[in-house]
Amino acid sequence: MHDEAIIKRLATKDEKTFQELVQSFRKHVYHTCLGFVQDEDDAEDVTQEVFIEVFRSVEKFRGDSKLSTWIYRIALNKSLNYLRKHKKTRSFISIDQLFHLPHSNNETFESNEPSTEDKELEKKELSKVLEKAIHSLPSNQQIAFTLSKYDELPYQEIADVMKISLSAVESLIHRAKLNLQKKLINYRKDKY
Amino acid sequence: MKCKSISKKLIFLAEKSLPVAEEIIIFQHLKDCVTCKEQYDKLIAVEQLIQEKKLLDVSPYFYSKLKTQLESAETTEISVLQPALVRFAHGSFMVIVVAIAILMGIFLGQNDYRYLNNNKQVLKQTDKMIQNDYSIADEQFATNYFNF
Repeated sequence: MHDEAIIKRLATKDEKTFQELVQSFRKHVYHTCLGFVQDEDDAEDVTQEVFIEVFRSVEKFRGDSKLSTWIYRIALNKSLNYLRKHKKTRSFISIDQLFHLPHSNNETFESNEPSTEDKELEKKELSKVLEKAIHSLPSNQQIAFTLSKYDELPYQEIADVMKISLSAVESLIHRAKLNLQKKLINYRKDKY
Repeated sequence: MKCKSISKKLIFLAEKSLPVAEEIIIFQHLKDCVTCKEQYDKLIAVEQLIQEKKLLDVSPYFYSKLKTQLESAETTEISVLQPALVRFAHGSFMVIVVAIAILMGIFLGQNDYRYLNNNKQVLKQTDKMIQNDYSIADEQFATNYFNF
């Protein structure tokens, strides 16, 4: 079905069309939100907010861009709003967890192979470090990187969502990756 | 290749986006360089984490939860609107009551003022009549008493 037909049907609040739309965009939107929010449950909540917004404001969509671009823009805005709202609490939790999580190598006695529990903790810790590193990127780099890495959006679509040129997207993603590498390696250096 | 130039490419190596020829050279370097290898391992761990996150999906009940959310959002809008209307009506009613009370006060005040004015005029007239009566009475008394 073409975008125009979908929009027309959505404007009449056709539930079947909405269900199909959710079905086809659910995973993409969720991954975009997850890339920003980093927490699975929170990402699902934000994904819900995105689809509620799509359902409510589809009449306002003028068709200047592709339907998918419009949905990604909503996902982006909702995720950034979520981060803004939860910035203080999240950074507190993040720091708290970073410094209070027991480190596998320091706390197990003479074991060469880390246990499953330790692996889980290590993964959680790494996830927090990654979250912190992504959030510390300049916002344009953060957006471009997340859309590209978590949702594998083509560069052209990222350019459309962000309303910038293709070369700007390429440059942003390249710089984002180099910055992330620097932050991740430096953090881990401090840690050990 | 030196560590500095290798280090700039490690994240791209971790996500497998480098040309094969370049990959071979870097892997060769990693065999001999512990520092670069450590950095690479850390980046590989992060890359794996991201790939794992990409396999995640929303819960199976996502759509039904979304539907419930949409319905409850609609009812919330109505329930938010209703108390607002009640509050507005209550406020308007209070304003009308106060306005009526003020108008009644003004009306009663004006009536009292008119009544007082009338009373004053009546009193003045009575005073004049009394004065007249007294002056007549005085004249009569003087006439009778002193025989003017």
